Amino acid sequence: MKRVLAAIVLSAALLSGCGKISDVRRRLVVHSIGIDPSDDGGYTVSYQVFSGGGNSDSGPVDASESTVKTLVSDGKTLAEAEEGLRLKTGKEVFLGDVELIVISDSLKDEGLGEFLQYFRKSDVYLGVNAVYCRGSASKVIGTKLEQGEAASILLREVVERAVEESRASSSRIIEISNAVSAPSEAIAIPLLEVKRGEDSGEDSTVSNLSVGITGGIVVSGVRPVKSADADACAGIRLLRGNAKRLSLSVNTSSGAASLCIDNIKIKRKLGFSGGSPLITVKISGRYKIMSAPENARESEIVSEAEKALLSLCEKARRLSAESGDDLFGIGRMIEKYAPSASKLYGGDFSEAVKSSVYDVFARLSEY
Amino acid sequence: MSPRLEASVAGIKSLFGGSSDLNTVRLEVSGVKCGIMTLEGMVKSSDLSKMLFEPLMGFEKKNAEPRDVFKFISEQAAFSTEEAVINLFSEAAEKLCSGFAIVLVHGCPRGLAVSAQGFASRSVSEPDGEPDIKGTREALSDNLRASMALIRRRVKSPKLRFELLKAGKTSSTEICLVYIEGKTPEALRKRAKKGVEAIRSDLVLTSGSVIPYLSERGGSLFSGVSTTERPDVVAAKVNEGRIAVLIDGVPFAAVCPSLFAESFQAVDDYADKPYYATYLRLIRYFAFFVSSLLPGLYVACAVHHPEVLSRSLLLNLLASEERTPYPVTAEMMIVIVMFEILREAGIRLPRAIGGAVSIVGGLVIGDAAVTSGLISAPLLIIIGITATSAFAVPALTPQMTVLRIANVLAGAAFGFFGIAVIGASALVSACVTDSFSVPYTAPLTPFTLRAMSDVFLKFSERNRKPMTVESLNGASKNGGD
Amino acid sequence: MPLRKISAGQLMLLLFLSRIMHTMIFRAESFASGTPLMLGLLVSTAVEALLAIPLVIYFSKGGADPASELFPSRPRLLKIFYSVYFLVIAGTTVALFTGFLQSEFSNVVSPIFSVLLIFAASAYCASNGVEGLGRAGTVVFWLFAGLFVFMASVNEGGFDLLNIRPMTENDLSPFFEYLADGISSAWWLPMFCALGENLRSGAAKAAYGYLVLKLAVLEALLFLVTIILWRYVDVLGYPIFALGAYAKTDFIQRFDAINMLVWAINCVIVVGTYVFICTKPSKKPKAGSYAAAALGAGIAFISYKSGLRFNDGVFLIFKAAGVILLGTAVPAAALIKLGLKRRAEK
Repeated sequence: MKRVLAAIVLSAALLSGCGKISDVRRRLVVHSIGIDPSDDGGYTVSYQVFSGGGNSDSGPVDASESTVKTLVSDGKTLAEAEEGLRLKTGKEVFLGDVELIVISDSLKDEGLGEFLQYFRKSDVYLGVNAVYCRGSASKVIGTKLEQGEAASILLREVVERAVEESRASSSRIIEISNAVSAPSEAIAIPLLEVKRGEDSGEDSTVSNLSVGITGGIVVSGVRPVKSADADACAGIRLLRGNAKRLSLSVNTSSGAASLCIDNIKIKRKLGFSGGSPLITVKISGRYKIMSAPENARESEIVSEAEKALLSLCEKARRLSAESGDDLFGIGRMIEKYAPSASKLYGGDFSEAVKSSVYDVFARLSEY
Repeated sequence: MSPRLEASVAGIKSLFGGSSDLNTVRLEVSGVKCGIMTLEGMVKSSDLSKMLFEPLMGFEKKNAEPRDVFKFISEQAAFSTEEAVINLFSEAAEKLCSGFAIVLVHGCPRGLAVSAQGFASRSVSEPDGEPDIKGTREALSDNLRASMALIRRRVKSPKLRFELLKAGKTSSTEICLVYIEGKTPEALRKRAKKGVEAIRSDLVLTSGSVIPYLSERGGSLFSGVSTTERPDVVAAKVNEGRIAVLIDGVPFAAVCPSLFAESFQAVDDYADKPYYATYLRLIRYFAFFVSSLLPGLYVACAVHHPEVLSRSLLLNLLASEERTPYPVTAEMMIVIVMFEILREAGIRLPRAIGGAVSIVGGLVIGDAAVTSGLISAPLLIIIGITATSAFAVPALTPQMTVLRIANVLAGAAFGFFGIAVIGASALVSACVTDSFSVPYTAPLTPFTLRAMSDVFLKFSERNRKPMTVESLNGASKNGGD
Repeated sequence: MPLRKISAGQLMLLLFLSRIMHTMIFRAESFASGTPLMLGLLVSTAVEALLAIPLVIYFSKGGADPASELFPSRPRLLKIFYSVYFLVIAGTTVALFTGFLQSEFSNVVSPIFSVLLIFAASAYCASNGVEGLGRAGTVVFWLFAGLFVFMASVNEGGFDLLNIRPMTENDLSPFFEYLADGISSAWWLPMFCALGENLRSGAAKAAYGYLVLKLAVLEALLFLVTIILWRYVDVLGYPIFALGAYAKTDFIQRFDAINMLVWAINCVIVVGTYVFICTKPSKKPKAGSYAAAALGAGIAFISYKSGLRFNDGVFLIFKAAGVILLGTAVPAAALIKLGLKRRAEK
């Protein structure tokens, strides 16, 4: 009886197609997604996809210029665009391999709510970065930046490098989602820019494109509110307490010097001064001078670097205080360390952010 | 038996129905008619001539009575190491079948069975099924006595016991329980004996006829009884309190109780340095899981869970699969079945042409199938790894094969969920398998610390504690987790 | 046939796997802060420790089976109550697990097959007795432990200790909600009672060992979920699963499916244990286990279709009633009867 039952279940399972068997060849592997506004008020979504089937080489295959292509699909929503792509190619769209999501800054007014909801429900890894770009996201996605490298990998590495260097905030889907779900909390989403340089003439091996993070767009409560430059973004990382490494260029009496600050440690403390939150931030780190004028004094370089750090923090403070966007998690600090005071704000900490006083100390030591 | 020689001879002949291999030699000893009956090929003629005919012909006594001759044969002379007086035809037939010569004396209503076994048997060969580098080169023999001697040579202790039993309604095969008095629990010996006595088959030709009667209960996938053709393994096992069952005509011993963890032990482990033996053992555990799971996981990933695969692996898989005509599942099943056919052909073919199988397999499957785009290269690599891994743990080949195919089907139909259901069922199946109250999965679960020195890690001989039946049995009863 | 027995450690791990199964398929409605949940778990564990006293004393004093103790002539009568209770628990567990599969792996297996396969495998496991389940439970526990440690070590998420906040007045409502859920989910008490006769010895070790293990592991998991995922749990629904979804290596890109694989193995073992309890009143345990599995599958379908949740009002009361009556009142009554019997014997 047991065997008969097992046989029935197994054969029914195999014959009924209950598992919705979808072979790997029926999958369309997407490497990156670019979202632009469409003329009819919906979205034009560009998908950089893998198309390695035509590759006749028997060697290893990876996402390279020759094995990727960009497909475009329109829809009133992102889900509709995905469905359109599915119908267009006849394949299941697989978003589990997405490396980067690029949103055109033309969509700043739209807000991030729909995007976040769509990506949370899809196969997209919750650690994938989502960034804004200047101009068309489709062009960014389809850019061939370097021989043999797909744009998605390179763009992701550009973003990750900027985050590592504390020049941009990490903007993983989970981080954006967490930041925007609190009323006054905000996040600076990196702004990616692809610039076309001067024409390199007949030499086609020299790329005239450059790509980089040039700043960020501050998003509060799913809605982008303002732009931030690269220095302000670095200041946000410092005041938020999650900067690890930073490269600085400073001017000394002898000329410009560059130094790399590593092993940054930031201690933040919450207090109150005259009813306003007083945030004491102590920044310490180890520096390595990368280049300096021959007769420059090290102490001067370090002193200028410390001042530069304070200046970055000041830029970030001003950005936050102008509109009361909580870029540094002040609300959560108050909730944690001063729960009685948090009641006064009733869950909205924008006033606290505006009135916050910062006491920042920076001290660098030699490597 | 009749006092008349001819009547006795006729009685025995009638039992054998005139079988042409029954030989009767008639002779006169001091004027008394005698007959010697043997079965063709079961006795050694030269031995029989030396130890029976020559002394008999040398017996001289005037006016000898039949009882004098019989007394000489049975009491005064020693013809062989084993003799027995026969009173019944059936006893005579049984002894004849066991290679004895039956001496009949006219006027005596009895016969005498004289041991003169000399049937042709294979000489002691190498253990081809369980080869190793530093262990013995001798394997158990088809000849039960030779196998017993091989074990005795390794355990020179008077406490080593060989208990002969008979099984098989028609074959009446000799079965020998091997154990060491004082080390094997008495209850285990009694239950093994009871198991052998319960065998209902007509013929006992392989260890498969005995094993079901030694297994206590449990899931059908795993068995608490293992087989070995190595006398050194039998010696080691009986030293740990196990019972080995030797079968006449079978060059394998069934050992019980046997454990899952023992499938990963090899004789070389005890000859190598402990760290190296430990490393090899962990490799074998890994090989077991690779062989059982890898094809299933591959199919499940390709069909349902591509997000698990790393980017480059996924893209390579996609690129290869796009060039092949069949879905991954069908491809996998084709290659698995092909591999099983090749393996089977390799075993059955004479050794001289066995190499042809490798050539056909290597060329047809390995190269042509990929070049022609019939099979994708990553899939072939998966099967290559799987097959090689299976060879590392020969003791569990049937289980690995069944699990492999089940996992491929379940993985194709239900992804990792299907594999999980198969895995849970197989796990419980292994966990409920008992052999003589010793859990098959001991000492892992139930956990017994004192028996763990020879499971994953191989401790040095000075610190190693053998996995004795008593320690494992105790674990299942007294708090092993 | 002699009664097959398991050790205290094996029972402890079976109870723990059952609890962690519940935590895994617990779909968070709102997870504003981990603190009320962590405190709720702490307090509910303390309450469970008190509720466990009668059964621990009963089994420690040599009591074998509360049903036989209370109704020596008709123990099956009480055992049927346990069967019905665990049939519902098994059905709902599978329904919720099916909900999880449909939510996270909708294209992999259809609801009907996930229910059928889990119950078919569970029936097979249960029909082989509690010894196999106990031993397999130990393996699954270590499988879980290994997976969690590995996933934690390759987790890409950053820790933000600001997510751990002190309790406020606003947290009182979720705190009491979690407390009620914690106590009503303590069906390990009736489970312990039902499996008590299969316990070799060490009732106190099994019960209090389980509570300590549960508290330590779940608090650690909740702590990690709070500091790594924070509000994202609201979105994902399955917090422990989401923790695994954030792990990544170069070789294994995502751990979602691997996590699900271990959950599914656990589901089979846990539901197998429930089915085994359901077969207790049956004179033919093998046939009984398949019958119980068939009934359980029916309940699972109904639960799945009706969208029943563990913390729904009616089900909350059903669970709690089972915990109080079958997990505390019955062993307490059995303990009193055992005491009176012993006194009379003296």
